[in-house]
Amino acid sequence: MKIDIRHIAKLSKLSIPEDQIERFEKEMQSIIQLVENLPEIEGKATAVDTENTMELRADEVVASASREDMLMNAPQVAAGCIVMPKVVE
Amino acid sequence: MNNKYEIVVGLEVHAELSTKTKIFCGCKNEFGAEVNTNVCPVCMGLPGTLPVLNEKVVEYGIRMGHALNCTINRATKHDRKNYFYADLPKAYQTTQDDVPLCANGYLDILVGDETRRIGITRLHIEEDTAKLIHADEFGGTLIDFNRCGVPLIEIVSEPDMRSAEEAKVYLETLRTILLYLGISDAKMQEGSIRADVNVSVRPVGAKEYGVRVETKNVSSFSGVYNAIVYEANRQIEVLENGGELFQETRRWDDAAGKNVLMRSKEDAQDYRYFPEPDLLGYVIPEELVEKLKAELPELPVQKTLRYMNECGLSRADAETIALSKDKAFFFDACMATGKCGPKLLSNWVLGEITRVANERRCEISELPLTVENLVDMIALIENKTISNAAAKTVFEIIVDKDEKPADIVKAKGLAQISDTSALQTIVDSVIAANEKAINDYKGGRTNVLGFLVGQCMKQSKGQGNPAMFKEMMIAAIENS
Ligand SMILES: [Zn+2]
Repeated sequence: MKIDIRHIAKLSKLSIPEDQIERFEKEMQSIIQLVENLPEIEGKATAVDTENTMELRADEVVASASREDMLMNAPQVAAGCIVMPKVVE
Repeated sequence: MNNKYEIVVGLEVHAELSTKTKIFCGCKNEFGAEVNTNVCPVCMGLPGTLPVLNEKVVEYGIRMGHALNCTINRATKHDRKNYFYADLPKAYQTTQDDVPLCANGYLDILVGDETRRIGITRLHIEEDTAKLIHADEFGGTLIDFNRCGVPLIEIVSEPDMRSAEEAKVYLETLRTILLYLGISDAKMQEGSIRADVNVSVRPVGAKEYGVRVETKNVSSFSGVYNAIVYEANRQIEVLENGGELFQETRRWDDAAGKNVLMRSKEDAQDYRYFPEPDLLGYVIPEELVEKLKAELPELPVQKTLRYMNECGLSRADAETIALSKDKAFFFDACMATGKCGPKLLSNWVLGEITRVANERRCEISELPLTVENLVDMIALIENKTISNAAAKTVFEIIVDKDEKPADIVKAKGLAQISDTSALQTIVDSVIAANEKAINDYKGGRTNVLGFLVGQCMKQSKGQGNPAMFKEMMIAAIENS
């Protein structure tokens, strides 16, 4: 199986230097070989298991966490928000 | 638009549900709160947290599914849609893939004089993303997680629309249904409804669909219309110049009135859907599905048709009332009393009552005006006790005070004078005072009649019967 590292890098928004492409190709090849050895799963794995179902939650407000706590681990905070490098998709 | 081509349109509509809390946690679901105050470890996607599905989200989804004549999948589940973007802290969206809550429905819409049936492929429930605020003054992008985890329904239509106008009507109809069901604020300007538009073109008569292009980020009715017209014209131009179309995603820029390429097919995201391991499947009791179906109110398109066929209203009036839940509920409540006819009632609902509600920036249901007083007043006009002019005086009072129209008419002496001798006195005095107009009329300028009747109405302080004045005026002039 041919692995197109440039395409994968583009989808993952990673910049990989040209001289590294070959190395990644080799490394990913070995990962794929590993996964290829997994047994094929027969049948539809996505069917709903109606024997083992979950309880739903009532639509009732539970106090939210404090903003200070929630933003504590953020590398940068401004105006009550997490700041991240500018991206426009 | 080049008429050698037919436009084919399908819409994917996202609507935020107006539940009290988010879909998978108990944080408040509200628009416009202080940034990052309705957040918790679950909706911020912290490791080790587990989602718990809100039962109201399922209920609201089923309501909409019924309104769209869908099959309800009573055994359903959730899936992960993987993508890497800052608006999604978990790096996946919890949504539904192969077993949506509702599927295979349709919506009838009224376009021009035609009823068009638009197929509904599916309706599923999922979570909304965080809001990114692009702020140069902070040298980056700010993230507000209040919207993250707000429940959404996504409604996917079949490619059954054939014009921009149809797509606009479809979206407007969906919006009105959401309001009728009370399951969404459906405010496009606040982003609670958003649409992705799929457009292709094909030569008229062709069976095969053309290459489909998706336009994202459309968030107004006019935007949907303009985005479709723009994209269809772009595709036709490419084909007419011998070019080739590609399956791609484009972004609508409403201010510029055009779209730009966002990504081509080669760069299409691979979402790697798989069943959400943090949520089990669930089975919706049949009784609940049936109960929600029984509770379905009469929907806007049925209302429009009923107003036209049973009440004899014009298409325009019927639709204006039906497309507003507020107007329609008030109109129906008045009709239910059986005390007045539909025509005059619709004039008042669409005229004076809407004017006052607009002036006060409120709903009709929020006015102190009661159904009982309004229908009593209309009945007084219909049985000719009061004129339209006198009714306005009555209305000014009952719009704010709960007083009986009959009492107001008595207290203010507003009853219409139909006593011929009293009216004749007025006609005679108007004739005596307007010699020139009378001569004009005799000379063939019959349009002065309106002026003369107006003078009579003025003298009678609005209490005369204008039809009787007109008749008596003509008779008096011709006999003089
Ligand atoms: Zn939360």
